Amino acid sequence: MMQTNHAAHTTVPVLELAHLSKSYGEVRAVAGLSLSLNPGEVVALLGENGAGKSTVVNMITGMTRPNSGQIRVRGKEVLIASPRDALDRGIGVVHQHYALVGDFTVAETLALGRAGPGRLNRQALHAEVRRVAERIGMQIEAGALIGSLDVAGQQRVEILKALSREVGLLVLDEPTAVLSPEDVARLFDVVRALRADGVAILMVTHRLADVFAVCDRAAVMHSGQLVCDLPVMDVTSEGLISAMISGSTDTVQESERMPGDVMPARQAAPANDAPTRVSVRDLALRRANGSQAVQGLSFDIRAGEIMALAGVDGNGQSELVQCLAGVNLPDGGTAEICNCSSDGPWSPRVLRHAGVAHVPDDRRRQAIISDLSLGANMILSHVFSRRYGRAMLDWSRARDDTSRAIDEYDIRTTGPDQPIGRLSGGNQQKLVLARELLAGPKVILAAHPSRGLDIRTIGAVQNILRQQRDAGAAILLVSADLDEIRALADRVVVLAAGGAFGPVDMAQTDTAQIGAWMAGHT
Amino acid sequence: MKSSLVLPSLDRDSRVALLVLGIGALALLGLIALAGESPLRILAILIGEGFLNRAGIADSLVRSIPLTLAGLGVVLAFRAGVFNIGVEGQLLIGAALAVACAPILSPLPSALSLPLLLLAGTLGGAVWGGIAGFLKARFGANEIIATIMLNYIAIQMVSWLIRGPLQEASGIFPRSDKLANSLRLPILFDGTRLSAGLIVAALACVAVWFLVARSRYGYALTVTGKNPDAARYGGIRPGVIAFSVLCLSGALAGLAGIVEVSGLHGRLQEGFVGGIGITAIAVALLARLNPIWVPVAAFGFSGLYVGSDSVARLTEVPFPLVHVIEGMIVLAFLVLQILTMAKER
Repeated sequence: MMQTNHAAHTTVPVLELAHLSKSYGEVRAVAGLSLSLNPGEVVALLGENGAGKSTVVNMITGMTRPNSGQIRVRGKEVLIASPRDALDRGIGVVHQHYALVGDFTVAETLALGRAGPGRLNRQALHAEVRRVAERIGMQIEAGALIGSLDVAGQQRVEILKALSREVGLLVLDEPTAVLSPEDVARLFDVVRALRADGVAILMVTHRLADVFAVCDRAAVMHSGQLVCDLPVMDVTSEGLISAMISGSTDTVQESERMPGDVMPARQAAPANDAPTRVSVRDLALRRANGSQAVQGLSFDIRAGEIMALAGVDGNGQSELVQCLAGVNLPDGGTAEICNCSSDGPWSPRVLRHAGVAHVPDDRRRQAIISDLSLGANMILSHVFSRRYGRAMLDWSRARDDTSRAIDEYDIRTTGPDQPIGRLSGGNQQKLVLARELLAGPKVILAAHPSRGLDIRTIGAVQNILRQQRDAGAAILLVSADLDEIRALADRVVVLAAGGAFGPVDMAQTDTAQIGAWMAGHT
Repeated sequence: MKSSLVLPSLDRDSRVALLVLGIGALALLGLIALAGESPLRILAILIGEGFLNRAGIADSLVRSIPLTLAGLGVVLAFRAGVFNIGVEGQLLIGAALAVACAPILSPLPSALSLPLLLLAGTLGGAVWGGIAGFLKARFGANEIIATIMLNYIAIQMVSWLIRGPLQEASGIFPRSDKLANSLRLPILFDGTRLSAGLIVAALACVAVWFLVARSRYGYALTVTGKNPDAARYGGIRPGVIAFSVLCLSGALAGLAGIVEVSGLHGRLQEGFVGGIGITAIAVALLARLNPIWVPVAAFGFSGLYVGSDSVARLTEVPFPLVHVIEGMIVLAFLVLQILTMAKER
């Protein structure tokens, strides 16, 4: 085996990161990060979205190279040029999204990427599956088809695949995000078995429960920096939350309200008799792969109110917005928007007609057509309103609207005829906002409206949302950024671990509470 | 902005198309040399007979009529990202339905009967395209496979019709009776075979251009083809688009079929389609899915055919060569398109 038992007592770390930095353009994803992992140690890497966790994983596994700093494997400085290179050096990884072939058996999967030409020795592969599975006490059938396994089963195959090589370090990227509680327990058994075997494990996670269940050390990242690296027995969940949210290590071991964490008072709170525009009752939603994203979600949004939907990505926010925009139907329960009900006709066309505007999270995929002009993109949300005519399109009006939007929203472009794909992300987003707000919507679904934008544009986007709220729109704001939620929202719902927390008034909660909910911690 | 979706300007894409033509020409020269003839002499005959004398131009125009109509249909479908490979079947069914209606229509005055005949052809094609569209929209069937299979059915059906219910009264050849004169598209210029189908094709060009560039439906087509997710987001239903565009595309193919019968052959007979279905796809692609370039591309291909007819008659170079060239042009076009796409990334 790759590690003998006494290896756990040697002091040479399996992996050592020293002053690692990585920038994408002007954005510093990771800044001067130092971290080391000893054999038989399970380290949790925590942090909010965009804190730099994925970049660290990518650098360790050869997906991307650091701009500066060193990576040492067993005390030797190395350059990890590719994922294959990482594997050769004993670094295995289980990504959040699995790379499996549905028509292969578990055993055949092991041969992927390493089998030479000629016949596949299935007997040897089956024996190997049994050997590795036995070693770590994993239940798996070597002849089972990948496509017939559930998410947890596929994850086991990925772990198996990583372990079929000589692995000294196993990186698990958000391993528990998609698992049921029973499967999480089973995964942790495997992790413990590996630890006993002397394998070092880096577990990227946002769930605090994982940290206390199985990890030895907790490393917290904030804005690309390591702000906390302590043995798990020395930290509290409140402390970790505050480190994740504020990056402040001072408060790591105490639970207290952060300074400046008082919710700003709204000048004009929505009147209690403001009409309800969005009503969601006992809603259940499924992901595209069929797994349950959300269950039992209920909330109302009134006119003139911003409801924030907080949570780590992938907890059903996207599914909820797509459902409320009419793109998907709910899997259970009902949604009602402005007299439309998901039990009746429910489509983007119907809902747009009722006054719903939709700023989707994946702009390039859904909100724009890259090689059409700004003017043509302006029409997209209004194809079936009569704004630009009925059977024949009024291109000159679309052009006028676009020119006005360019002025009003300060969009940097050569004019309404430029293909929108040539614009920067921020300018594209401004056009999308301009388009969605053009007809005075009653309901605005804004999914991460300011993600990836520069500070100035973020300010502009937030101001626009405030104006719309004051003009009486009901706004659902999806955001993972607690500062943004604090700055804008009246109430907040948190989606985590397949369930929902809240809604609560922003005045009656604080960032620590929301952060705890986001971590699935009540 | 008015016609920003389809403006005839020499942008990068058009230059690519021209480059494709050049590569096709080069391949042609190479093959001619292989056949043991002087490329220059062949080229002179090809271009001279196909494009430069009166008879050649008239013949090229005759051939470009069905290519234009069918090519327009392909443009519509391809713009929506729906790959209608079933032009041939739609064309055949359109022509067959119209010919079947001919006995009912011929007693009517010509001003009424001829438009009705064309309408019947259009309808037949629309139904045949609509079947594939329904299968795609309702059951998610792949339109490429559906339209190809429908081609085979149509070919066999027409083959049976002209040996059965639609066979000529004398019952000798597998073909229909000649259409009554009132049902024939008039010849435009004496001494040529050029019929009023040319006018039909020109009108269709204008109509399709208008549909694509100005109408809401054309916008929905373009958006669906370029980004189906964005289309759905905007309230456009891709299923409805797929069904309707296959109907429309088939309608134009059916119109091409009956125009070919009424304007040129005068009767339904085997093999009158002569590869129009596949060439129409090449025409649409060469026109970069822009309706106003379709007649130009169609004329170019037709001239190539007419010229190579003469080449086959006057020299050692065999006629199938032109099919090789046609295939090469389509291939070169696709390759270059992929190259430019790769460069953008």
